[in-house]
Amino acid sequence: MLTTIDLAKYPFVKEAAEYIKSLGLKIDELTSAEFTEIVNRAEERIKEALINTKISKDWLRNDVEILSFPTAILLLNKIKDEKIKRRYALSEAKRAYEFLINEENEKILYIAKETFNWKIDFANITINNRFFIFKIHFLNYLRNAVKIKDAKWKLTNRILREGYVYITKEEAVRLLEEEIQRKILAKIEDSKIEIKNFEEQIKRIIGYSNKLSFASSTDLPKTIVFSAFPPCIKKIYESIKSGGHASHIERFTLTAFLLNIGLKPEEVTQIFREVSDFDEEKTRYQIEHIAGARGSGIKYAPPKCSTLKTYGLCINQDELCNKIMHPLTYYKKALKLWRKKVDRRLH
Amino acid sequence: MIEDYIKKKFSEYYRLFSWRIKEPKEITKREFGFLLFKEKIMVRHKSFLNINNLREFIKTIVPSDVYYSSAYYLKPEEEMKNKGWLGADLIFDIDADHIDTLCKKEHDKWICKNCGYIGKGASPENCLKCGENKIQSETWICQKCLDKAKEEALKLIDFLTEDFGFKKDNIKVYFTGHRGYHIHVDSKEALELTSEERKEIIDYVMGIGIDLNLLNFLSLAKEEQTYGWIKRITSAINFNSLKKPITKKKLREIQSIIKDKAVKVDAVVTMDIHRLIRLPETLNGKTGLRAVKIDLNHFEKFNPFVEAVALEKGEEKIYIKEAPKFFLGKEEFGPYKNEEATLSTAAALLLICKGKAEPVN
Repeated sequence: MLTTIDLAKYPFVKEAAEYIKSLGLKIDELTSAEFTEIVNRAEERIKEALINTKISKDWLRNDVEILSFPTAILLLNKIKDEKIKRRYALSEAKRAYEFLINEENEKILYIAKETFNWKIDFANITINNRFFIFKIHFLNYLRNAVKIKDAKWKLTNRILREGYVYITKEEAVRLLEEEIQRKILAKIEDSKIEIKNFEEQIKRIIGYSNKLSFASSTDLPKTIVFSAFPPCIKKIYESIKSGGHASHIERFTLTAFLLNIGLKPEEVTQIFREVSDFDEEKTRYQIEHIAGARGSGIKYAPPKCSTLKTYGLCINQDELCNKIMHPLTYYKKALKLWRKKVDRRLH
Repeated sequence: MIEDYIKKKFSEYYRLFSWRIKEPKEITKREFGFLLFKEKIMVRHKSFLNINNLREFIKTIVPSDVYYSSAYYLKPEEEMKNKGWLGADLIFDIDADHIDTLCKKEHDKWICKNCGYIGKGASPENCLKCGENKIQSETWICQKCLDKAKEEALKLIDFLTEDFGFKKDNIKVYFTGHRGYHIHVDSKEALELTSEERKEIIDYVMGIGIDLNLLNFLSLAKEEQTYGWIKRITSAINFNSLKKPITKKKLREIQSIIKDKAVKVDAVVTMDIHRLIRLPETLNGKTGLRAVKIDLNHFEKFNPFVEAVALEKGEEKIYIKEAPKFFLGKEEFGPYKNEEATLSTAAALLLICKGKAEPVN
């Protein structure tokens, strides 16, 4: 049912543990040079969780990706700070959610049953004018749903029949996310394997958590990293900074981009001060609109690459541009590379 | 002196009938508690290796009430934080104290120990006259109250089987020996339910937080098969009269249906996963009646005033301050007011336990 790619997507499934067992690795081998890649990725998983609450979803080698997960658990077991562990478990669960939501129903059912022993089955039923693909036993339902604070998850507001709650695919995946998070936390706590010689990694992990405020819900760091901007955005930004003229769509693209990487509307207004025909009132109004603070309440994203191409704003394409379809993805990926470079310089 | 009398009778019962007390499942993992007559204190954190040890202990100390934990512990004798909680039975408490019955005004009263005010019916939190909370209540067990409690228990059993899918064999019903019923769900799966999860179950059976929109109530087709709460509501409403948007009047009607279909349980008991509950086949110190296990098939016909009598033989001469007309065993008694009378032992014990009479000599 599950491929090696699946194991890399879902390294917490029982098949992943079996896969690792079949490799016959010993924990003391982790310190040897050939496993550096695995340990690095393990540290990166934790770092990404702490910085972005988001663990990246692309990898080169399945085995490294799979093995890095239990390695991350071993590292976290050495750390006392509950916040770090919780943030990591949450981020892994979110990553799994994003994969699972695109899976076939059969695979979702399989993982729920095999790894988490859920009592869940296909229901394929329309009740009260709603279609439910699955039914889940109320004990499995409650264990996870009580953690989600929304009236729609309250058992009282569900169809409960002979021990089973009817749910949609999206709801099943959301409940799995909670289950995954809890199970990972338990794994970290229960891990009994003693590891040595990872003091440096542990010190760095604590360092990442110290730098960041856990209250922030944004996926990106607070400070903007200009060198990680995609070429198209860089061009508009530089043009405006030097007092040049910018078209409506250019202004929209830049504004939406900056707001999405974590700038506040006032900070964006500040940037537009340089524009020749700057009108503070009008600019602020438009920026707040794009930020979702006015009008429809929708926070706009910048146009995707194909749209920017249509507008003729896609320029100076580089290597990374070929791997992405959205300027925000470019920024996130470039940031990662940038961070690696910084880390390398620091050590 | 009154305590001595009751204790003597309880001792008699346990000497004759302690064999009726069955060994609770996994007795070594349970905590036991005993309320003592004289000291009025609870001896807790006791544990027993087997039922014989427990029976001997009860026969020796003769407590006014015997409790055991719904929870299973690694070390039941340790203090709470060191016990090592392993799980707890899912239990529900249905008590006339939590149900509004009209007859309470006739047979229950409360006395404010601060200002001496006497009120009728269920006791309030604070005195209605002086506002102090030093309230002493005097309750009575009556057929109507217990019938109402039984009705609630039957509703709960319907929720537990139809909605929650528990098997009837796993649902145990007990008369508490006073004003209500305990329902225990004997299910391995339910053992590990957290307090938070038990609260969700309670909210479900009590109909708390129902959102008709979230249940897609209005887009329901008339002929459609439904389940759970929607089924309960639609079974009680004229479907053709439901039009969108729903009128305030209709909404009130639906809300009153929900109130009617909801079970009145004591939520605290279910949510408390360290609760001590009455041990079946022991005596209730408030009445001298037995806490009886009831066969589910017999529940509807169960009559606590006949079947919970502990001591069926003997007579006692007592002085009765005041007591309404009541039925116990095979006889009818009362009403009494400031008089001496000779009653069956069970009836005499009930009045004395209830503080309505004193033994003569």
